[in-house]
Amino acid sequence: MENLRLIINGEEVEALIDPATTLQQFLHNTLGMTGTKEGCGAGLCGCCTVMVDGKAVKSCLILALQVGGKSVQTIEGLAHEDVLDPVQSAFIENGAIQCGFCSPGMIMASKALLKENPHPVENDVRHALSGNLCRCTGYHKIVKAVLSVGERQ
Amino acid sequence: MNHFEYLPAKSVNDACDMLSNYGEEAKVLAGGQSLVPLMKQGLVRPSHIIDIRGLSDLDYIRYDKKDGLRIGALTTHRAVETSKAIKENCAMLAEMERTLASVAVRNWGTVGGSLTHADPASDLATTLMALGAEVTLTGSRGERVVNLNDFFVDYFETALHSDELLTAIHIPNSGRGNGFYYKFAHRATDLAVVSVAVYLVPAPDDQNRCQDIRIVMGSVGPTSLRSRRGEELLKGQEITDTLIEEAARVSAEDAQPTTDINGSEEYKRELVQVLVTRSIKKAATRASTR
Amino acid sequence: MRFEEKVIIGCPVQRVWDFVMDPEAVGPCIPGFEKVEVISDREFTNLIKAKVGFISVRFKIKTIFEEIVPYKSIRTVGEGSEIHNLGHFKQNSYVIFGELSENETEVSGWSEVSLVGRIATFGERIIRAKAKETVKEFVETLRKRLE
Repeated sequence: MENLRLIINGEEVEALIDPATTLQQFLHNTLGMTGTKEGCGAGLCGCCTVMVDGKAVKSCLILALQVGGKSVQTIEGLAHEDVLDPVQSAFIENGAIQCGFCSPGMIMASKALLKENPHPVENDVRHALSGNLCRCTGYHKIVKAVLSVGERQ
Repeated sequence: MNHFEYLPAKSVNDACDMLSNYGEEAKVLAGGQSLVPLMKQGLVRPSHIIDIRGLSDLDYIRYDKKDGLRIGALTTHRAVETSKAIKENCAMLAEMERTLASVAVRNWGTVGGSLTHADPASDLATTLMALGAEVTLTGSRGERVVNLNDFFVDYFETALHSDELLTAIHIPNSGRGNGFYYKFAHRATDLAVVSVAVYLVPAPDDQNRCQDIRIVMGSVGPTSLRSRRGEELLKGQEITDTLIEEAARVSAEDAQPTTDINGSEEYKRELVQVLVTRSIKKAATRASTR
Repeated sequence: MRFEEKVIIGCPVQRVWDFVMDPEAVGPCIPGFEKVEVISDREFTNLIKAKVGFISVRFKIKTIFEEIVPYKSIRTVGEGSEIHNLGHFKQNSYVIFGELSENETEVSGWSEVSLVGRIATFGERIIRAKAKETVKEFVETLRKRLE
């Protein structure tokens, strides 16, 4: 067992974990933060996407011990009290959520994009989300939602 | 994933010492974007993991007009993709990075990790070979520099000794040259079905004559392959369509593709021919307008 | 995958036959052979190690002599799993022995092999590229041991 100390959604977290634990397993199973999901387990579907120090990463491909001392942001940390994040609102308004399984990953990847590029064009959005798969929506409304946030900002 | 002992390295020397100690039972972990999926599937079961990701002095990009480009092994793909120095002086490298996996993978995966994993479909290996890159290998007994042509030995096998780390990449500056990376894949984020990287240096007095050229084919052999016969056809010659077609034809002949779910051997040879033709033309156009 | 091979061995057919029918003699000719366990005069199990890229796999394969025509032909079937469950192997083969002369035997045959599982998915390219080589290596070793 190894000691892990990091910041999750602004709060300090400390735990003793088995090194063979991915960041996704640590968030989902150890901490019960079920927003970060394992879809494919191979880093292809993007359901496990979170932000580490402001950058999108695939948490199912990262050993939890590697984010010691870093700041992790998950879907649970987006809304403030009852106020949704603009990206979350845009997804709802644009019908970009059907079953919702890909949504946390899609939203986190979108947030990471908008951090680096506040006014992306369609190609930028599609390129940034190429690591996130959706089986329901056909992507069109997801792209529209992200573009709308860029237009509003 | 099997249980393992986690050993964060305090320095390159520390990592090399640990590698000497544990030998084949240990695996080096950088970004883990290739290693972790394999461990999750149980295909690789190291008893010790030597984590070198914390060695921040291996994370750098330095450009010098004379010396060229030097990139530390722990530089992320994303850093290479977005580096101003690289976009301005080695655009082919930044462009290739945009086709590699996805943003999230590029944010954590490292160039050193990619090269040492030695997947023959590696976009980075193919591109760096075309750029004439060499790598620094650091071990308990010292350092050595190996040209990438000699670094890749076989499928997932490199010239690294068991106690060595790849610590740096050096792309010498050739000044007038320019290149193009062409990746053919069925979907975005896929590994290349076939890829080609061409780097062309025009003659100083005649932009239409090829002084030097490197043609590298990816995903069609146990490692990235240089098309030596294709290169010899063009070196020192006027770049004509006929010559390009001939170079593409011999490249397809010398490729060693395997039939698999992505396509048959014949299909892949056809792809090589098309991609080499387009890449040479593109590289030549870029080089002559520089 | 289907393999077809033919080899001429400078030995009388009887000696070649006896060798091939002896699991403890023919086993070590297989690249990666580690151990053989004879279960009966028609059944035996081999432990075979292979490297697919940098990944080591070990298969425990049970082979059965299904049809034996003395000094003429053998039909075998084999099946086995990787010890860490990384894959499953199946084969069926047919081998013919032809007496060319007193001291020359032609051994020819075909083999249909299937490999499924995680190691097959990961290493399909490598396995396809190297399988032919491996079969040739086996046949060469067999010939060398006999001559």
